[in-house]
Amino acid sequence: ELETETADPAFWDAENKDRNKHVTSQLSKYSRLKSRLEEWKSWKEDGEAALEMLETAAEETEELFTPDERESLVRELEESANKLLQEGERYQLELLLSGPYDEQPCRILLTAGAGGTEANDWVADLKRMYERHAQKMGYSLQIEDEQPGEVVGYKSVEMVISASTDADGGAHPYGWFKGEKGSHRLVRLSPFNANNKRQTTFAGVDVAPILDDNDLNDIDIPEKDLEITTMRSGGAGGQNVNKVNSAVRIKHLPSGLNVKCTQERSQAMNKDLAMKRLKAQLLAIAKEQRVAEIQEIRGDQVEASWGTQIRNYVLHPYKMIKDQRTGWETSNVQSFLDGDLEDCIAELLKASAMEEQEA
Amino acid sequence: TVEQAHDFATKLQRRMKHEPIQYILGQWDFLDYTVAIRSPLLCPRPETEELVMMIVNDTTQSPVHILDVGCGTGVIGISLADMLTDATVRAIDIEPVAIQTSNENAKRILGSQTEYRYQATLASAENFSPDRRFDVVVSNPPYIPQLDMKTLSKDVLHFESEQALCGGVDGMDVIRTIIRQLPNWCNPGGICWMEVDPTHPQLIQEWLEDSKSLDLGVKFESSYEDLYGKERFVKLSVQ
Repeated sequence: ELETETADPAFWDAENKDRNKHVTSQLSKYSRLKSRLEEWKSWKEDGEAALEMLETAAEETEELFTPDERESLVRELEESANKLLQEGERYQLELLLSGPYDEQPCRILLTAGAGGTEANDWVADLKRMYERHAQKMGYSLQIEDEQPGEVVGYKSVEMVISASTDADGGAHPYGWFKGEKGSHRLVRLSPFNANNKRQTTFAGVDVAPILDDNDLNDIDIPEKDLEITTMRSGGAGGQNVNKVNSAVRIKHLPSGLNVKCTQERSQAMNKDLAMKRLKAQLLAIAKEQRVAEIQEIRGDQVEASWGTQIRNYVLHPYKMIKDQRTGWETSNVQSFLDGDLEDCIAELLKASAMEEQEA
Repeated sequence: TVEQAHDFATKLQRRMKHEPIQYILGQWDFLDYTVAIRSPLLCPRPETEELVMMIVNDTTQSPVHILDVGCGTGVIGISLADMLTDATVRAIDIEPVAIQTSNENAKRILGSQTEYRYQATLASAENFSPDRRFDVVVSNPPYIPQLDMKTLSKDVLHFESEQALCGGVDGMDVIRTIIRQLPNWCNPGGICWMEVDPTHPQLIQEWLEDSKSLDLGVKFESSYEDLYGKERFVKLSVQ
């Protein structure tokens, strides 16, 4: 039915933009599901065909196949079975991703904690880790902003992760990455330390869903709760000054949330975008922490989500990465830092799903 | 590439002489639009973006006929034409480059609708006798008081047109001309929005509420602050 709707030329009119966006995203979601099902179906059929041939061959007294042919049939069977099993598990996991904004693209902000150059380098490592992981899981990742560190690495990195246009790519950017939110602790022999001492550094990862304007329009934040600053506060302003710094920073006073936007050349546009991001963050916190009204969000709730240490990466004296929330751990640190997060995140999703059930 | 490097070096030179970046690049963003900006026109400031948004949120009349006085690059009138339903805009300026640039930007943004919706013509506020009356008059007139002119930074003082900046001794010369013209330009109940120097809202209110000014036929409605907390905008109505 959705396809019939899109066939109507009036559907594409500007006024219908919101409905239009909603329908096209639904459509792509369903067609993706449809092509996945078709893929599974074809694997199943391949496997069954191979099985049938082997079975028939077994019943015949004559040798129908050479040992090689038989081997390749068995292999085909095994492959199809494995693929189906893997996909089955992955799909089960995705069913767990049914939170209100799980299917939305997300914005990830990496920030170096205290620790100077070592912390900046850690942010660079995390950036690489997420870039590779996003690729592995079939997401598309775009770097929006980078503040390089003085010597190496970054003070902060901002990236957007969205579902790729591939049919079998990941389809739950926010749902998948939201568990990364929190403080990531690194322990290693620092190459930047004069004595090559063991150092502990932190990097903050913040994940927020990117919401449609529709979802945001209903939210009204009172002016008095906001502190809006721009790069050129103070001074005469108006016609007297022509400075094109258009960065806008908005602080939400009750919760302490800070949002900054620098990507547009127009100050009004940056203010607009910053407001949208603030609203998205507030909404996400509200939903996750089950706060009834945005107005009730206070600093301690924000602390609870951002400041918590969620994962330890120890590279010296032993090698171990441990996720604090599930207890999941691995000593294969290199492969994890190369983007192999799937097991860890899957574990987290299962754990929070169980928590939900018990609640 | 070599050409790009050379181009960059030339532009950098200009910038080091404090030439406004908008002139060097020939364009900049205003709200959601990218507009051509050239010397000696005033480069749109962020406060003017606020003015436009304020008018858009306050104006419900449709169709609505708007006059943009001192249009410069045309951004105010063009944005209003685009964002309000059924709006037609006349724009005037005394600088020929302004007329050319405004009409060019209008075509860029309004496309084929420009013919019916936007027209910029060379005229001064004193001499403008339109063949129709307007519902809204908007202006970002030159408003800097004479004494403040020398405090301006090089990129403003040496490059942007003094005509577009200085409003006489108290900065109110053009503002006064516009206010005096309002009864000739507007329909009854017409509204005038202006961006002004922070010293002006009080001066304007005192002037209009003085008993000697009753025959002007203009009422001071309200003043509004900009993002920096300065009293930057006034709203007037025509009896």
